Amino acid sequence: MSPHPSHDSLPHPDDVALMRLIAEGDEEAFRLLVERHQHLVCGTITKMLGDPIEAEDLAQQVFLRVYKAAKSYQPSAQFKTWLFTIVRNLVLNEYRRRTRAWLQPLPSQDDEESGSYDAELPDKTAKSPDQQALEKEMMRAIDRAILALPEQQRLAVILRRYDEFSYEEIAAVLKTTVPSTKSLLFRARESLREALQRYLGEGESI
Amino acid sequence: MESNDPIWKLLDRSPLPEPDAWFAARTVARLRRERRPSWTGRLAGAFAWVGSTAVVAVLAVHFWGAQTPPPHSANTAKIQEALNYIADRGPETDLWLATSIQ
Repeated sequence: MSPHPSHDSLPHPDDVALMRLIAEGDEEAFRLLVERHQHLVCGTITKMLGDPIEAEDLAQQVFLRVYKAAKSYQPSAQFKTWLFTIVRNLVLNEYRRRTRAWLQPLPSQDDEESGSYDAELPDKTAKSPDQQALEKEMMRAIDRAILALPEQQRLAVILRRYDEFSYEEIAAVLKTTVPSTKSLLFRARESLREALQRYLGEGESI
Repeated sequence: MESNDPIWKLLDRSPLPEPDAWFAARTVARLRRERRPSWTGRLAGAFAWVGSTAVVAVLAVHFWGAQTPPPHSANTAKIQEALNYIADRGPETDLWLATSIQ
């Protein structure tokens, strides 16, 4: 018999139900919650930091904070917004730590092979080596352009474009207003357009 | 609209990287590791237990020691015997006592 029959009675428990179980120390509920959100959390942090190994460590810290905060969690805000507020706080802490430690804030992916990125590329169609090389170069250019954005703009772009957050949700995560969020996104798009000018025509052909 | 913006579409060419299949398992393992106290924590816990037990023992000895009556001296028995004697003699003892005091 399962020690937590709630899993059986709720085939797809929502995040709030999982948080209640986690508050009781249920590891299985915690694992389900991690599996549900790991793609967005890991992906967002990797895009923010540009380093998949550090991103994994930080993503684990995010989920550990969720576990520790489960007892005091109040489902007043949307869970996703609350989760990404933790992501934002930890990423900003990491930037401050890097600044204090005189670390390079934005590692260039030209200096490394970035194997973990390349290994996860979906191989949808068979492409010639030249096309593959061009595509990898374009991906690196896009990631570099995103990494070159100021922190708030970068997070706003990632949340909007990749995580499909609404303006209201982004504003809640960034602790700002909706007009300010729209302004951030507008400026970010202009910067990206400038940085990726040469790929704008090529994007369709590759 | 931003969804029609070519730069927005271009970002799709570099999708979010996927975590590997063992990310959730590693996260749960890390949670277990962090919940389990380290050997230094266990050692500190043991020292704290021994220390608090010793403090409780010292306090108990001190408290109960203060409550215990002092041991009987040789005079105590003689005084008790005299008091019993006086009690047995009755009223004439009072007279005897009065004359003795004078």
